[in-house]
Amino acid sequence: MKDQHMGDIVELYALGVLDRDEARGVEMHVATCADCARLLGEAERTVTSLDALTVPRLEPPPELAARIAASSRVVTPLRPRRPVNVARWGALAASLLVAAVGVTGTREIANDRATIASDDRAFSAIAVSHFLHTTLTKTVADAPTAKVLWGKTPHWLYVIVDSPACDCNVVGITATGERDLGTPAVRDNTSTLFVPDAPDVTRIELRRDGKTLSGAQHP
Amino acid sequence: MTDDELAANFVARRPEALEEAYRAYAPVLYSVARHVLGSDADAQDCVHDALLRIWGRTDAYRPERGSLRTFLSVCVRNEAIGRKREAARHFHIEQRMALAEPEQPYELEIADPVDRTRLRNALATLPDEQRQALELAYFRYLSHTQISEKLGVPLGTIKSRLAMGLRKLQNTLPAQPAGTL
Repeated sequence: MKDQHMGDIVELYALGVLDRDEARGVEMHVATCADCARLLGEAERTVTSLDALTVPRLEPPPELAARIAASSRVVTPLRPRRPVNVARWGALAASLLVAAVGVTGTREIANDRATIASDDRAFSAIAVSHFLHTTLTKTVADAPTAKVLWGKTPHWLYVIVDSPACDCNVVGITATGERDLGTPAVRDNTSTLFVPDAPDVTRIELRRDGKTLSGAQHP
Repeated sequence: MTDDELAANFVARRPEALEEAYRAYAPVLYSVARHVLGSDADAQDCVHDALLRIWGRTDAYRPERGSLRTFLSVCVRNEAIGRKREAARHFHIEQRMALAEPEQPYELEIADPVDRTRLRNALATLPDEQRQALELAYFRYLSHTQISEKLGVPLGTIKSRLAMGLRKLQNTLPAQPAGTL
């Protein structure tokens, strides 16, 4: 069962060794996958058993309860997202993007919307399919830290570079050659690139001015 | 109110469910955050923010995942670890923390000799390489990448060791006694 779902990543999530993007991917996936939720629950029980042996029990200050109570009254829970047909959503996002460019005529706003659309598509894909993840191996010392999520079905890619200004592009290596997959766009303190359909890519590389900074093989 | 009733209220998004859950599990959540972060103020912020983040997402908890107590505890722990890493990164000491600082044996941090023995016995059932990776993850809060760099072992191997080690511990750790953390 484990091989058909998220593999080792549920144990890594329970231990807290994933970074925020990876952890977010697990949370979104588990929200829609009962089997992975059960596997994660088993791993989480083991971690809390460790806590029971190692963490001294303390009483929190009373003011924390009042603070949480006050905040909970002003937080409105978000509605859960329904599973998304990525292809249809992608077409819709693309049409919205075209409209946005037509209306605003500014490159900056268009780029913002493209990033948001790309990330929403990525998170939708993460939520409804299974994936593996790999950290890119650096080939030069100053390469930014980066990782890639490899979607299993369909075969999407999501590249996350731990730098808002990586100034690089992502190249996909296939059995017959290579092709440029695009340039990661700034998202908070990272840069991200979602490639919705890349079934033939066996390796990706981050490159700057044609020079390879880092790379990762499909696991 | 039973744990099952608390969980049902949480899933149903009853307005008072978050407060009820906090009241029921406050010592667990606060203790875990305080243990990771080492500061009362940071622990309070961590528990508050983690619970509000969870409460803002209706799909965060599902019963298949296990008890609400375990779910909330792990969420707070992960939030605390994330904050600890962010703080280290901010002060540019992440590498020093991960690679160079002398480390006390974790066993010295466990006051109860019975618990210490239980833990030692459980970890002793693991192969050395799995135990070593798990200790760095659980006791030192290192990320998988940091563990890989510290041990000079490929990241994929570290992931496998962590996952296999934790799965083995599922069978060897004592059941959590009632009334403990």
